[in-house]
Amino acid sequence: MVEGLTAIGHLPIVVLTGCLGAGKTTLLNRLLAQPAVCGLRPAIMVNEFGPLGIDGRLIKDGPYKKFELNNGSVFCECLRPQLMDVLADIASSRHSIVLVEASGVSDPADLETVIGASGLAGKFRIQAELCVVDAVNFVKTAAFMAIADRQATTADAIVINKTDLVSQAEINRLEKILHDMNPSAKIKTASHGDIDWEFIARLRHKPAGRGPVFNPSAAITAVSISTDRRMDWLAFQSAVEKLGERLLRLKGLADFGQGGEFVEFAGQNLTCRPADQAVKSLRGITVIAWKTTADEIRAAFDQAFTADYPQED
Amino acid sequence: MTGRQRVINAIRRQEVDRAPWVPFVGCHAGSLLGVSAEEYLKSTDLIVRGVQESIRRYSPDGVPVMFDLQIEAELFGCKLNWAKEVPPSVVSHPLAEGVKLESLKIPEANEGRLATTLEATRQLRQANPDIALYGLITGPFTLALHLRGTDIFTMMFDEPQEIAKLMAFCRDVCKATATYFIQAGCDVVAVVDPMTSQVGPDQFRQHVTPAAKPIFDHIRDSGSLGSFFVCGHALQNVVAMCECRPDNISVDENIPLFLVRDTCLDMGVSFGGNLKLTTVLLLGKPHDARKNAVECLEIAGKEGFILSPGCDLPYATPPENLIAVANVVMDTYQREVAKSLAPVEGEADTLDMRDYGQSGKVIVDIITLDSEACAPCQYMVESVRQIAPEFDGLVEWREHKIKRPESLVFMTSLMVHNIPTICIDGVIKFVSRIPKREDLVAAIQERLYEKLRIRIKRRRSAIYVLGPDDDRRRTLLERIETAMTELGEDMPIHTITNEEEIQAYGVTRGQTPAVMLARYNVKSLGETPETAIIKEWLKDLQQ
Repeated sequence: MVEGLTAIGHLPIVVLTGCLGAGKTTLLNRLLAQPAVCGLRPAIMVNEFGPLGIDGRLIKDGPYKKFELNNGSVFCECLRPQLMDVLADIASSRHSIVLVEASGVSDPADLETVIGASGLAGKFRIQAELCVVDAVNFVKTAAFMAIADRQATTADAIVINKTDLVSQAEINRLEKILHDMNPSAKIKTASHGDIDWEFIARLRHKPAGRGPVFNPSAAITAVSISTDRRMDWLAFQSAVEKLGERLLRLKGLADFGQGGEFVEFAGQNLTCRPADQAVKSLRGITVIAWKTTADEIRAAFDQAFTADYPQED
Repeated sequence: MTGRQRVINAIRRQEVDRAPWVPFVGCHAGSLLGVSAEEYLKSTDLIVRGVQESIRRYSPDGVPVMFDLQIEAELFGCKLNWAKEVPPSVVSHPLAEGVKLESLKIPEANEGRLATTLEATRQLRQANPDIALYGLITGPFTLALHLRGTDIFTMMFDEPQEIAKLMAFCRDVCKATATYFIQAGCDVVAVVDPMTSQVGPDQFRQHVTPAAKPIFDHIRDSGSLGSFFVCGHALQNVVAMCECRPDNISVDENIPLFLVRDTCLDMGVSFGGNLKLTTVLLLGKPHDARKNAVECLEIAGKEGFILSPGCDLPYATPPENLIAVANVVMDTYQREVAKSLAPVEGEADTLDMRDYGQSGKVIVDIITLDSEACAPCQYMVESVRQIAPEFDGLVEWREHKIKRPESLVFMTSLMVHNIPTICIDGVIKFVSRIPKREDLVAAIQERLYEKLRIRIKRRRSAIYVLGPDDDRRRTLLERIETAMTELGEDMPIHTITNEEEIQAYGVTRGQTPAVMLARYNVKSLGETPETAIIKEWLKDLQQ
């Protein structure tokens, strides 16, 4: 049995997944600056063509070769051939490891499928899948973007990045959410993508479809509720309490008898303040929660509606 | 029924004689012309030539004019990154870079590559009155993403009203571009919105439906047909897509076709798909493509279905794979053959044929569907049956009906891909066509001669001429050489003059010159036969 990073005849691949802006590129640049990584003669597969001009968004040049994918922000089945060509190119060159910065909207399982379908299974193996999560925005992103959920649930390890921008309580809660979504993944926190290569080198990949089964109830759900009827503030608070720690974020406009008011739940705090005149007509709230269903969320807030209709403002 | 009518009928869930075939030829047409995707997608002339070439090769009932989801984005100032074998990708998002939504205007028909595509549409319409033309427009959500970037997902929570405004603008863009394509002659406007597969049904209904439904209503009111194209993992949104009231939806292989069929037909919408783009059409062989096409046709049934790939065909898709699909769609016999083929997986399901055809007889194998049910198969079998007796027992023939699993294994082992086929001693000789009598006879005779030559070679004969070097021995040697020349044979001639050696062969003085023939028969190669087998050889020598 071959131990360590390289099995004979198989080029190991480390895949970095995560939504655009989570910090994949920053993390990758940090890794490439570590001598242990450069010494492996890595091939870097990048989706270089995200928004440019922001610090850390480009892979820095160095003693490694970059192979670029022309994915942009749209990824679909029809772009797989390009991925296969790049893999074939890498397979015929002299590298000891491949680091892949996946597109923010790509499904990690696709890489395994492409490797299998293109006859390159004997040349590559996935060493590890590392999902980079934006501590500030993950909850909001995962609620609306199905792939963000999937990237976290299939990862071998998750790096909660940008921890310098959130409180410890939020980090703790995010860790709990991610652990529920993916119990077997190792979770690490970072700011500015500062992860040691040693952590990644020790990871072992569990192929998609095997290992812990994703628990649907651990998913993050977003629900939009129209608030064109008046609501009772106390009943609203009660609905928030009923959801308890499952409620992650809430924001929107509702009428609690004082005209349209802006209500928000963040960091365990529920606040309410008068809304700008311009937005008073846009009545509705968006609720993000986990370990619950859309129906349960609607049912909870249904209790807060009164029989009255709002007065014209 | 023309292809055009067939497509229209299928989309309207009206009667058709067969399922229509619509290959989504985008930049793949560039490969048919030997030009890059970039060159192709920028030129009216190349687009027209490329689509015409694909019509000539693939016999479609309908075809898209172009498959490029970046045309509108480019008009709004999105920077594109071009490539040789894929459509361009959007690499900048104006609304994320400070451009105001209010400053963006609905594009005119004479702008940029929209004009390029519309002109190609007009020319193709004129040249192909009997083929349905699809005009593809970027769907509102994907266009919104091009303009705003993936920030749109966090905006769904932080600024849903801004999303609503953006989607309303994209809706109006779609309505305008749909109008242009309809006016240029398209029968179907395909609203291609792959990024909707990124959201769940609640978000779809909240953000996509308010834009998409009016687009399809507009297309219908304009007298045309609307198709909703969504690729990727979009199963969760199929119902929501149908609620937008398109006439048709088209999906890729990530969604099981039977689920799409049941949902769509229940909701009064036709559907299309979902040939496997990469594993079959790009990387597979024609028989894989045939098989996949049959699977789709069988699952979908005849009502309201259009056979198509799941998305834009990869540039380098082998044309023969698409031709194979077309053949299956149009030829029921080919479809029956493809249906009968089961996938053979793993080396355990093939035979080692290295030593096949080494017996003394010539073996003729006929691989058929079933000669009792299939006319070409019957004639093929009959052709062999009639001439075999003329070879006096030197020819053995057998039919392998691929409906039997063992015959299928045999077929795969011989690497036969077409039915019916005649193989002679394991070599494919006649494919699909019934051979003329004289051709079949000649092929068998050639194999017989070849076997004879091999046999002689293997035996490695030699001639020994025993006796003193005198005139009689010299005359004998000349005659032996003449005989070998006339026969085309080449074997060593040895002369033995030593009297003791001559006597050891049982030839006495006064019996020379004598001729002795020796035949060396190679009995094994690269093996260590068992003692029992060697004893059998020795017994043969004693006979």
